Amino acid sequence: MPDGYEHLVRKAKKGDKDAFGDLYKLFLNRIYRFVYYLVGGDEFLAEDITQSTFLKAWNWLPKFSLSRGTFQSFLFTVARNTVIDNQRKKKEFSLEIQDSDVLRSNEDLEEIVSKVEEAQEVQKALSQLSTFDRQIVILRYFEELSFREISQVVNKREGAIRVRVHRILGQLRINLDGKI
Amino acid sequence: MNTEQYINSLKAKYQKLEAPMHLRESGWEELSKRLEPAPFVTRRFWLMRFAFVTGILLLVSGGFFGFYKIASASLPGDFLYPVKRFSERVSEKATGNNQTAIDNRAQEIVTLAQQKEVRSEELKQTVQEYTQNVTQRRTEIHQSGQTSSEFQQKLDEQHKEFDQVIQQSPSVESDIKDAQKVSEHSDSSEHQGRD
Repeated sequence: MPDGYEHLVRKAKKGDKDAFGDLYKLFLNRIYRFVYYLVGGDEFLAEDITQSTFLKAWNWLPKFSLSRGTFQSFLFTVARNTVIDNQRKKKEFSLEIQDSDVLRSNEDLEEIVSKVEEAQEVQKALSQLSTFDRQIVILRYFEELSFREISQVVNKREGAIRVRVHRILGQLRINLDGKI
Repeated sequence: MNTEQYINSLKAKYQKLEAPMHLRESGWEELSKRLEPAPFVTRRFWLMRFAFVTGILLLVSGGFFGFYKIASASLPGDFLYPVKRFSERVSEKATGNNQTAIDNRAQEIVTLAQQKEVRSEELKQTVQEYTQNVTQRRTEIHQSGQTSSEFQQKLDEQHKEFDQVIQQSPSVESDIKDAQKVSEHSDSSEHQGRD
């Protein structure tokens, strides 16, 4: 594992809560972002799903094997499945950003407005893609997962992911041309 | 702006988004209270693994037992007959005598003789082997000075079965008469011995 948190994973697998706490802190923002954009910018829901993701990851950790994949692909898989489970229970998420959710934090107002605008821009770009393609773009270009890891997260063959990425790039190019 | 630059600019904006402050500050504290104690998780995991392995072992042993039972019922010329012969050799090694082979040959003689179309060659071959096995066992018992009552009792039972088969199908008498004779001979010699 190149990221250097293998020892934390091993300890957490043996039931070390503190080690899992360190992994939580390492991955919190990444998992939150991933979930946030998958659920269409609902901050409350993203928080809830993020916490559920870590809870499920803890419960599933004894079954996770480092020889079968990386911890980050395991964590993103749990996050994705938790989002899907949630979507099954609720209606399709709207991709409109919910300003009020972002504004409830105590950060500087100007900073918040800037973040909202940027999040809206990302959301707008992602909204032009299907749910599946959105996951691929986030995992490949924003989270920099390997094709192998993505194939484990979305449960598709590596070759199929490569083809999909190629098509998504083509679509983004068209969208970008239209924008310019 | 090309596609790569566009994606990179989106990535930069994407990465600016952080989990809400309270989640960053107290998210782990809240979550850690909801985590099940690790020993329980581990114990449950190992229990499940133990149940899984036990299930697999039961399946395999059940399959093996079924396979063995089918092989045990096979007759000369059948697909699984070599398995039956192999198990006899194992039994002979383990017990030091060929009683299993004798019992199996006797049962085969009865089954082959009762078939509608008697496979004469197989029957003759089986009778020959039965005769050889009984003679061998008798010699072994004689040389070792062991008691032969159990062996004799089995031969008596087999002899009776051969008699019944001949009564039902007189045409097989010539084929199985050697088997009948060897069991009979043993019986009479035992009686003579006792007398």
